[in-house]
Amino acid sequence: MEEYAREPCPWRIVDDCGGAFTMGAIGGGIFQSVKGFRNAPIGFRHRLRGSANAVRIRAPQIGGSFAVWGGLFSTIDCGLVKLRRKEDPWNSITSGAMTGAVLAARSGPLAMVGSAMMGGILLALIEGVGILLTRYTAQQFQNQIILGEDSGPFPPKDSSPQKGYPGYGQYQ
Amino acid sequence: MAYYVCIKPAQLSLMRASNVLLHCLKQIRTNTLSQSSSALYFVSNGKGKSLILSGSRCPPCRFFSSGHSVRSERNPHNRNEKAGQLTTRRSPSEAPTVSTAQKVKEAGKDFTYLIVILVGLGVTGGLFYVVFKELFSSSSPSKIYGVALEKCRAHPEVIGVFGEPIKGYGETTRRGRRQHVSHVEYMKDGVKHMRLKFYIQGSEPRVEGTVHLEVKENPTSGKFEFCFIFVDIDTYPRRSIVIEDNR
Repeated sequence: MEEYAREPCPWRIVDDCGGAFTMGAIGGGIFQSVKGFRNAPIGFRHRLRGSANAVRIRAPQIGGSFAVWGGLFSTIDCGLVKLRRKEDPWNSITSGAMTGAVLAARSGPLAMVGSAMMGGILLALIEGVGILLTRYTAQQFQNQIILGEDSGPFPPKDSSPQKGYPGYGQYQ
Repeated sequence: MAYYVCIKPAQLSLMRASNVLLHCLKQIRTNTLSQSSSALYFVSNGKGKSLILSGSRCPPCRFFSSGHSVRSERNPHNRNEKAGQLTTRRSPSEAPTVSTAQKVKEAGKDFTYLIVILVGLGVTGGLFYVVFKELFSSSSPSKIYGVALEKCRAHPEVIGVFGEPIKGYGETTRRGRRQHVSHVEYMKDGVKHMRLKFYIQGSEPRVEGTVHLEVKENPTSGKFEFCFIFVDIDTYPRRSIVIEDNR
């Protein structure tokens, strides 16, 4: 577990795959239960049965396609981290676009481009939400941080270490 | 003159729907029939009757009638009809007049949709603005982090301690993402400053480092300049490497 906490990358693929499956199965289940209920013949029992049928048939499918997306996305993301040796928002946007392209590979180059754009835009939006959230929490933190008079870990032009200067926690 | 019939098959039992269909077919032998996935369209030749079987998934029923232009319908009367009821109405010469109340209702609905669309566009645009600012602006934390990481990678002492392929990452989130770099912005003497903190790791096992850096805005050019970059080695022989110190 310690190793996991230190180096998220290979394990994150499994994590994301499972998370995406759960998300897709639950979300798809809710959606399909409503859809099945509406499309069933009249009568409450029929409608309930139609709803249950739709969920049973479609929810695992949706979960599966979500899992494929999540797993591929995470795999490409980890590959990019390894290649670029750097972790920043570009990784996830690029891997979103590449995932879209790979999954649409069977429908031809045009569909690949469209799907890649969709994936990239989607991931860019998610990144935007993430950036906004961290910024929001940072603003709440900022009130508590009192920066010391000294503007760094060392006194200026002096390389003798001086540990533990005040107020320099994790900003987030 | 044309007649039309609108049936919603989803709300009929199968038996009754087929009966209705047979009935309709008997009524209009002369008409041509076209079929789509969710609805049946009977195209009239202008003199005969026009029949539409509309599926529940095609709210605007379409009417074909030669001599008249094809129009799509959003008739509020149809919504009030009871399920499965077979209705025959004259159209289009005697189009029902729309009352003021209904006009107001429609306008209100359209307005609500407009507001929803505008809010959605606004939120999307705002998110795109944030993302593009973060990715492309030279004063964004992730850009500064990239520049500082390149400087660390080029520094010989850092290479000696950490080993050649040096990778950088930010704070680890609960979901194993490490791409957010912790930063704080503040004003000092009227000049904008920003402090960043990120982590580096090289090929040497169990050697990790934290990079602290501060940038301040150049008042004339508006660009950020490095005040200092220090690398703290977090594992046992604890010491600090000064990469840049312009104070």
